[in-house]
Amino acid sequence: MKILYLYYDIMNLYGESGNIRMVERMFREAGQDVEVDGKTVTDKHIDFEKYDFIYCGAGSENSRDVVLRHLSFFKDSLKKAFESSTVMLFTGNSYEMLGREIALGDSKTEGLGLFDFTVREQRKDRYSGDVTFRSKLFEGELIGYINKCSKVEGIKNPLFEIEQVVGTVETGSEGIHERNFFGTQIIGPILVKNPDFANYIVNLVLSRI
Amino acid sequence: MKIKVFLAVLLCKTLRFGAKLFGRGSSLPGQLTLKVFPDILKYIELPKKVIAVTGSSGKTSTVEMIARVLTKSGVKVAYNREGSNQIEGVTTFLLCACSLSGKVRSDVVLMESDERYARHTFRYFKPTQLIITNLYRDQLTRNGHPEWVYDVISECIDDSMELILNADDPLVSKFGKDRKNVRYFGADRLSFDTDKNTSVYDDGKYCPCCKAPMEYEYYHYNHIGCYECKNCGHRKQKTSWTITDASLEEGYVTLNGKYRVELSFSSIYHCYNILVAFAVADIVGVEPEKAVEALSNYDLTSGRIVNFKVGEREGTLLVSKHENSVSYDQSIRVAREDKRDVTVLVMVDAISRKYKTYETSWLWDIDFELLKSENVREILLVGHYHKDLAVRFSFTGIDEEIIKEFESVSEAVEYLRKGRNFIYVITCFSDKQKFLDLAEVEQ
Repeated sequence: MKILYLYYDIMNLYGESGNIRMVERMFREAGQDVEVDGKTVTDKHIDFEKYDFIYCGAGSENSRDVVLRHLSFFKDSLKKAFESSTVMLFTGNSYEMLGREIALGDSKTEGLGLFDFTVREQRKDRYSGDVTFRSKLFEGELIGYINKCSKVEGIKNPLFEIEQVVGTVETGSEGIHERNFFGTQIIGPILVKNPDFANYIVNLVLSRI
Repeated sequence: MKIKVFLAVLLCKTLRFGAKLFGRGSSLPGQLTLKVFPDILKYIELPKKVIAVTGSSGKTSTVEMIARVLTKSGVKVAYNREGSNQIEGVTTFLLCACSLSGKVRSDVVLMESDERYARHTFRYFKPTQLIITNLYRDQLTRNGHPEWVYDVISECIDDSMELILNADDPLVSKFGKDRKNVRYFGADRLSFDTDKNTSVYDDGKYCPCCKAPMEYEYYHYNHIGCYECKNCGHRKQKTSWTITDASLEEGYVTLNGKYRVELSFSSIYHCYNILVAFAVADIVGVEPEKAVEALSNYDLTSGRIVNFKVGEREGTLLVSKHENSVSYDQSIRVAREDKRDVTVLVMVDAISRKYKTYETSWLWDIDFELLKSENVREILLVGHYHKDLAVRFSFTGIDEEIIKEFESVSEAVEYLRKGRNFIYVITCFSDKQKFLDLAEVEQ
């Protein structure tokens, strides 16, 4: 079992490492030998296709911009992994990199284009809040936390439906689910807080080996 | 204009008097006065030195320490002693310190300023010196991440004010990049420094200016240390006020190579607070000898450290901040470095008393692994969030046998009555009273 912890040292805004620690434990408990590779902006080679599970967490906007430039060198490999249905979880602003573009005022940064959505970012207000949400993929209510300064538009297959909010985040559809790619703007250790989601992800990975 | 100032001062003082009678906080009088006179701060006459302190941690402690040192040295200080650090609280304390003609009757105005609201507070007047202590992951539910807070603070800075910056924090010292009106404080290499960042995360890993990998010569704690970016040249700057030597075991710091200050509490945090107080005393013109005398064995009065007894057992409550992993790391280190066998109680019952949140991500940024230590004989996880804590602790490698969970604080305190070891309680000021009400607090 090979896990890729992508940008472990720069895309870790708020306890994101908990996600990796949790899945690593769950895979081990399922009898797997687990190897976690940490890759970051100083790495020259990343072969996305050799991993069973890929995770990337949230970062500051500046960090995300740096990471996007780095990740663009490996776009083809990432795309191939996605097309062969590798299980991937991108949380916080990390999944924003995979759309068509990120717009900040009049300036636009090209995304990696795996998906057709666009991101509108601003640097004045943050949208923040505790949220409860559900997914069509499995039963049960989930909890999480969002802290962002962007909105994602043009998603056909959302991952979650946000039901309750304490804070300044909107309710309604959230995140993206395409093949085995799971993206959400929820930050922090989402898999620790939500065993149902962790089980779903882990079982999906296990079903593919 | 004079009549406006007169009325505003009168109104604010009257409201303050009334608020005190009704046990209300110090924000309300300023808030109501600002409703009538929104730009009143523009018209009051300030003394020559207006010193503001901002940053993620240590503002209240630092401001209290500075105030004590200046007062003891015969300087008349007006400051927001209750830590009301947004514009309303600042308005209250400034107007209440004014004569009816609108002149602040002190030699120095000293204020703690909330890092997010500095741009509002400093709209109508600017401090002569702005001190920035540190920028950590802190209360993301309100603040956003440190780089975001950096941008927010930037909005209140202009060329007129002198910045007094922590040279050891790469994000804070970025404020001084390409700037003339700036001086720094910091610590030289100290005996307890490490070559590697040993925390759960490393916010100093990449240069905050250009995002190239940062090189560290040493770390004091977390991302605080001596760094250099080989790409853009951002590096630790020369310091005007310096901790040249410190021993947490023996309990002293040496400032600027010759002034020894005895520590009443051995924590690197406390050392930085002392350094800032030393720097401000210098800026105000207090002789260093006098400042050092006032700083030596400075008794922490702010309730950040509380000694207590539970039955025959003694303990210390270390006030940390929920949603601030660095402050937890600091407290954990104090417990770990104690030579005695200790029991550590970690309590998370309400994340905040001021606003509604249930957010626990920050537990995963705290280096609880440090409690895997010979001297830590027992760990109690207490409060509404004991299960969240237990999951986090299940990843620390600490023997499960020594961990006990209590949802109820009173049951935890009852349990404590049975043992013998010294107790450390690590919790937030929002939760501390729940414990202290059940213990005997030493005055």
